[in-house]
Amino acid sequence: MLIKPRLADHKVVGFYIGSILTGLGGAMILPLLTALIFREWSALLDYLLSGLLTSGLGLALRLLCFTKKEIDWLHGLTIAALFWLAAAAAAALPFFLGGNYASYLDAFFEAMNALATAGFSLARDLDHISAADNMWRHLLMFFGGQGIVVMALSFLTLRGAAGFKLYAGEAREERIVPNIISTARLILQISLVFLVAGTAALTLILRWDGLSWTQSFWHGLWLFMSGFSTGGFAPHSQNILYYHSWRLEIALLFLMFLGVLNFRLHYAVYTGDRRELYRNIETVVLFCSFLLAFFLVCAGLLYFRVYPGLGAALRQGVFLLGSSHSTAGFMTVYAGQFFREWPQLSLLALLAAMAVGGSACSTAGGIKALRIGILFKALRQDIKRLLLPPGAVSAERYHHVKDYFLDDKVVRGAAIVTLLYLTVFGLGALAGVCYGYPFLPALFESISAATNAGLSCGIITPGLPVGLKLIYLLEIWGGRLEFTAVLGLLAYGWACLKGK
Amino acid sequence: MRKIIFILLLTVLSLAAQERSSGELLALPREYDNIPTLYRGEVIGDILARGENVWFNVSDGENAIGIFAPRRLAAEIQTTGKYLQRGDTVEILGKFSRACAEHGGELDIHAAQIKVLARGYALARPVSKFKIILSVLLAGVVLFLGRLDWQRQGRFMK
Repeated sequence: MLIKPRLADHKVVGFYIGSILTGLGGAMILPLLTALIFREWSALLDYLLSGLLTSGLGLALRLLCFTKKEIDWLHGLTIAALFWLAAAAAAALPFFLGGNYASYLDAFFEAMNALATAGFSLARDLDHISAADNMWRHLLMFFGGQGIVVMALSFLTLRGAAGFKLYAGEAREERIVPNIISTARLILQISLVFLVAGTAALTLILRWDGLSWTQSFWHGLWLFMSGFSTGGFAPHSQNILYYHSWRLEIALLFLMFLGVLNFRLHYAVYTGDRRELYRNIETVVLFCSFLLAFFLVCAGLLYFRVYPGLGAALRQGVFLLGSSHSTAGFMTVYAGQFFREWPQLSLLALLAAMAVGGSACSTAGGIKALRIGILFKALRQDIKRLLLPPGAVSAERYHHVKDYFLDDKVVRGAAIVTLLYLTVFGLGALAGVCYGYPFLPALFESISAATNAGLSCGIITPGLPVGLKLIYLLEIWGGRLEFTAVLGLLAYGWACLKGK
Repeated sequence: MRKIIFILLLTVLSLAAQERSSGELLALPREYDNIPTLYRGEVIGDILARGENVWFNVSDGENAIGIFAPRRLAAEIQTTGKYLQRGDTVEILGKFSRACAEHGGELDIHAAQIKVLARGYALARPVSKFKIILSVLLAGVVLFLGRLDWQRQGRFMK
């Protein structure tokens, strides 16, 4: 029998959403300080107002929904799914007040893209937005890359398994250390160490490339937040093309590579286990997939003479492949150039790379290398079973920090999520076609949205029809949470309607 | 002698060049590849010094395109577009490249002449009095709610 959630259940959801919203409102102090440094008084006021509104709403929810009840699995999923919507709604406030977005929906789209590390932008004039807005866009990406709930868990003290239920709701199931709060804090610490080192490196590169020291620092900080979080935002409308710098492209490729790796792998390497880098099933899958896509991308670009010479083809091909495989979505070509100039072979390789994405428990999106690896292992096991005599036992193992036996439950989990992604890719493409776009560009944009890559072939612009904006928003939100939390929210809603 | 040749070349280039918008250049890049182009727009962001040359980006409102130019040509540019200012409006005469062989396949324009058509100016971003009043009121509400929450948490912890 379906049990209808009671008032106490709604209170649990409301209390935790309130707690995280209070924190998000507090985080607006950072763009506010940026506005103060740049003397952007109008923007400063927008962040003050938005921060107060968000914190006020969060505190009101905490007071109204105060409860001692423990979180269960459905609460965890519902909180994660609803919180991502509430966070995007609150984070969109300063964007909307700033007047650089045509509507609140566009500002919401921007905020969701930042949080989900997708990277599509609907800003009307990105080249004239405030430094505070740029700080907020990139900061949201940094929060979203690590996971908002992970960030919140780092500062919360939760008892029992409550923390894990929230953590798992945000499409994270892996623990670096047994305690989930310690895992969240480790993720934050790893990210902060990289933040300092990465910002310093990017600042030096940008200074070398002709920016002033001040601008080099700010752009370095923002590009780090975006690159490590595999987000893809940049402070200007031309994205990475703005800098005209191969040095920066190499540095960003390295950052994207760091972002694509599992935080467990970072920790294993940090604790001295360097062999994990080439033994882990995820790095093996990522390496093979990148290599295959690299040959296809370059073969297409060279055969069809898209670029003048091997050097140019390699520079553009490798950067955009790295950007799509890591689901960062940085661009060094204009959106329209993809379908006007790139051959379909290279585009298909980019699509496949985006679909595979990065590692589980990383900042990257996509189906994830772990699931692809597990499905390949399962396929190999089935082929082996066909070749072995009847009754023979065949056990398949995979290495992911530890050795695991491949069991049906793991394969089923990987297959279901993969199937969900493929279905969403198809439905998103169908929606694009229904709105009059050709199939391949519609598929490209749909895969890019659902995997939170953010590479665009030019469909997603401020003039996009509202219906398609909503569909892409659903894809971005669902894809970031790997659909589990969204299904949890639907189950919660269904239980509210039909439960007894 | 070199100066005369340069002026002659520039004259030929300006006669051959046609004004194109970024939309036109991006829509038909192969058609306009390696031909003299006139491009107008606002200088945005930063001017990136690279030895004797500079990079800067010019937006015509639709897209921004990278301009590569000798440093002395860009010396005329005084203001670049940002949040609080509109950049100089310039007219670039140069060679458009769909995929520049010199710059790793980037789409760019190598400028031979830069003309400042209009100077940039400060953009007004007025501070709303309504937002100030609302912020003060909200600050009071948030402080009150924060105090209530603090007290409740304190009781719960005991």
